[in-house]
Amino acid sequence: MANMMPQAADNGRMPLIAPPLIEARGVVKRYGSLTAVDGLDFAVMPRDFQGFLGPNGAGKTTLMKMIYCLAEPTEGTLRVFGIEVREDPRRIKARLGVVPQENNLDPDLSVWDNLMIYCRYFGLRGPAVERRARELLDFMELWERRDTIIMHLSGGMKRRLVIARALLNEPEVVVLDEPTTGLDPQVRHLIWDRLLELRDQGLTFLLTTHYMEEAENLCDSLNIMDHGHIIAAGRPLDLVRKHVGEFVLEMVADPELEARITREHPDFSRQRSGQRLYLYAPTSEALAPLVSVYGSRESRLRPTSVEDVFLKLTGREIRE
Amino acid sequence: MTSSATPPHPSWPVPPPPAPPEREPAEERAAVEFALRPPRGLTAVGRRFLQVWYRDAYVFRRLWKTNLLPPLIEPYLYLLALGLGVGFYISTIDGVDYLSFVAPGILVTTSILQATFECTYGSYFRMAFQSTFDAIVATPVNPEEVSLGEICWGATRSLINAGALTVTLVILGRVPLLWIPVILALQFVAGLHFGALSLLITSRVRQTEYFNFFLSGVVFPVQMLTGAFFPLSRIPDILQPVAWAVPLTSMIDLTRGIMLDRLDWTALPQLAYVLATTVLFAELALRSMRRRLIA
Repeated sequence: MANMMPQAADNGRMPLIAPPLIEARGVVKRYGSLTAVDGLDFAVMPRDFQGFLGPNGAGKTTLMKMIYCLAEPTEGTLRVFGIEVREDPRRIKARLGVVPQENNLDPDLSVWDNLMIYCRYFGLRGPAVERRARELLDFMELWERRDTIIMHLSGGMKRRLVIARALLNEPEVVVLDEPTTGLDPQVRHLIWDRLLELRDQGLTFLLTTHYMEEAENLCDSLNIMDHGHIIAAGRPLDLVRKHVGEFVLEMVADPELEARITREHPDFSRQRSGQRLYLYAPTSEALAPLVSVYGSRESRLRPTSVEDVFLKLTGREIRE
Repeated sequence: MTSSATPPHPSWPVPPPPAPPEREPAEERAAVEFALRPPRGLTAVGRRFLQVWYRDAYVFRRLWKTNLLPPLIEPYLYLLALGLGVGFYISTIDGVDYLSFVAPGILVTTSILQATFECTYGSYFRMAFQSTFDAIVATPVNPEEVSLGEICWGATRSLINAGALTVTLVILGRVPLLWIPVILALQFVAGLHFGALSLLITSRVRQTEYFNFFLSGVVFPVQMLTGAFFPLSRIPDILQPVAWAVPLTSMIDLTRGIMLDRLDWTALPQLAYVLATTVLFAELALRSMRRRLIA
């Protein structure tokens, strides 16, 4: 895959001031009385790998659909490649790669035919795009399967094919809506490797996911969404430092014990979830004394992760 | 603003509140943004609709044996049952033998049913169960082009089956050879008409059960009113205007006029009516489908 991204792969340097590839200002999306996205502002710069995290119904998929023009914003401006999404979707979509949440491949056709039909929608035909399709199938380790009908592919193969399909038109930005949901760890790691390789070649990515590990592995910056808002944004490590500190003590504690801890150590940031109590601190030393006093077999002192930030900000209750 | 809101003395006349702005700020902003709103309906269609047609044709070609044979056999059964079975008991009808009379009716109903099935169950299956339309609309193809591609593919199915049936009718000596291209063109238009109407329905339904209502509640009963199987003169006077209001009646009358060599001046307004309603249904289907696909 030496030369997958001809137009994006410059000599490793970006111009000093590059315009954002995607720019949202006050973007609102309403479906009747339901407000799915409620005033989003963000920018995606060239070569970003931006993640959008959020509980179900936070508005992630709606946002992705607005970017690839399958939904229209109700208010605000959303520009992709400098083009307002309601004005010229065709020009935007020609330069985007889309991996939707659902594998919408043509089930009756073979792997190869799926790609050959799809590239026609972009007005692409002939040896050049066939060569590219072959490279992409190699890249996604699907070349051996090129004649297999889609319904006989495994879930992981379908997903890899959808990603390959999204790259056919040599996009500048790729939108990934939950690219690895429901896949086994081997396939997930394969997909992550490939996406990082593409990022290193200069591609820009937008990702939604429920896997914090995925967000941490892939994304340079994260947006945590809830109820249609971005409630926190930044680099993963900065988010961890800012919102939870780098260590957490996770313990089983009844309200009585919690009251006692609160009384004796009021300066720790705390969160309760059912039986469990979470105490956050910037260092493990700060938490160590508590382990010896209140600790039990269920206590764990561990480094924090984006997941702790996520659960702290969006709450630990289940969303339906 | 703030000082005038609280008058200095209660007895002073309170100035009327400022008139509300004509439009809310959000609407104002929207009006500016939408200055360049892209066209809608048929005017939004570019040549990419052909790629949607190609996709359907490609899948059809792969599965042609199961797709093609049953609908091909059905009209022959009608031809046998009506033309030879019922026809045996009828010496002449409307001045000709029954097979000659009923052949155009069977031809047109075959055409419209093909497009109707394709653009109801077929399109709905692609749209709702396979998310094919969503996949296509995420590319530079727009919803209007997807819709027109589907309608044209429905009409192509009509043309395929009408073509096969026409070969048989030629062998039976019921078709003037020189007029075959015109007859087939008419079948294609009939396919476009019913494809557009069907896709309009498809764009509005949430379950396939509604198609049963459309087919057994509208298409099949209306067929009985349109002179496909017996002359319209046998219909009660009160139903005559209803029958002629249905464009299908004109499609059958035109096809019969050609096949029995009795075209007259009424063909022109009938053709215009068929074409106009086809364009109307297509425009409505394209607009409705956009609303369905772009949330």
